[in-house]
Amino acid sequence: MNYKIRAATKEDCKDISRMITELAVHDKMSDQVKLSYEELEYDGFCQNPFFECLVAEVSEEHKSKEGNGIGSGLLSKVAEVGKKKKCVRLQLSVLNWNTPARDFYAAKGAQDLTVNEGWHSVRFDGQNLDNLANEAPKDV
Amino acid sequence: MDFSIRAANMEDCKDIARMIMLQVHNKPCCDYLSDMENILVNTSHFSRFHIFDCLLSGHTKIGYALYFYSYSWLGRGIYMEDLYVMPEFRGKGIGKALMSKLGLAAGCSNLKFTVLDWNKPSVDFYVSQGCSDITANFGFHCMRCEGEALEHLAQP
Repeated sequence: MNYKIRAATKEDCKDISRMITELAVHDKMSDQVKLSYEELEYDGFCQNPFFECLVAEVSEEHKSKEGNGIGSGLLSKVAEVGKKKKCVRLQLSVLNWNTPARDFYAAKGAQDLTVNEGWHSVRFDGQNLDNLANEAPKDV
Repeated sequence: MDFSIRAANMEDCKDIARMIMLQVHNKPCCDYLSDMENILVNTSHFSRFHIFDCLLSGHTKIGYALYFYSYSWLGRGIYMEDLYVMPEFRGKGIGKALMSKLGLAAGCSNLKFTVLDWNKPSVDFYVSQGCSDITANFGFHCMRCEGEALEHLAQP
């Protein structure tokens, strides 16, 4: 299948937002999604962007649900982008029950740091984050 | 104890490199302090990461927090890569003060970082501050690709 990977543009944000929702549903976390496509547009394409994004696209007649190596293509492209900037690590997280994804990343040579070294991912958000921020020392 | 926290500047890289090397003495990522300082100075040109220093009154640097902006379906986030206070200055609220400063970062809805499950003092500290262990609660595993595997992945 012919597909193309390229840097995302502002115009892609509606589709990226749609796919974020699809991924969140798959991960059983759709209630966590707080992002609108307008926020994506601003945060990704303002003067100091908060993220970079690659998109994969196919022509109309090639739309199908089969595995075609597109995930591999996207992951490799991210690694290539990093290599150009002399990045030495690529880090990501995966849900422990998502066996196809775990197998996919393991096949690419990724190490599971949670299993191998005991790393746990920790997060502050909502009220807990507000409480933490309120205790910051005032600027002198 | 009198201390203040401010954003790091280029001149601080020497001290930050010193504090990084204090942590990695078991698995050095580079042999010389000067190499680490160069890495910090050169990478900071890209503005990809930021550091808050902790200074004692008298301006000795005794702790730092290194962070960068991240992004997810939660919106803008802060990823805290390093939080370090020199051993002789712990237990005085400095780690908490550094982390609180990060919590203020404009428009960010979440602060994320990692902790080793066997590091009981750190785990207890973070839990006491009200954070959520998303590995334990949701099953997120941290994955990393580096070295030859990353080289191979980056082949077109």
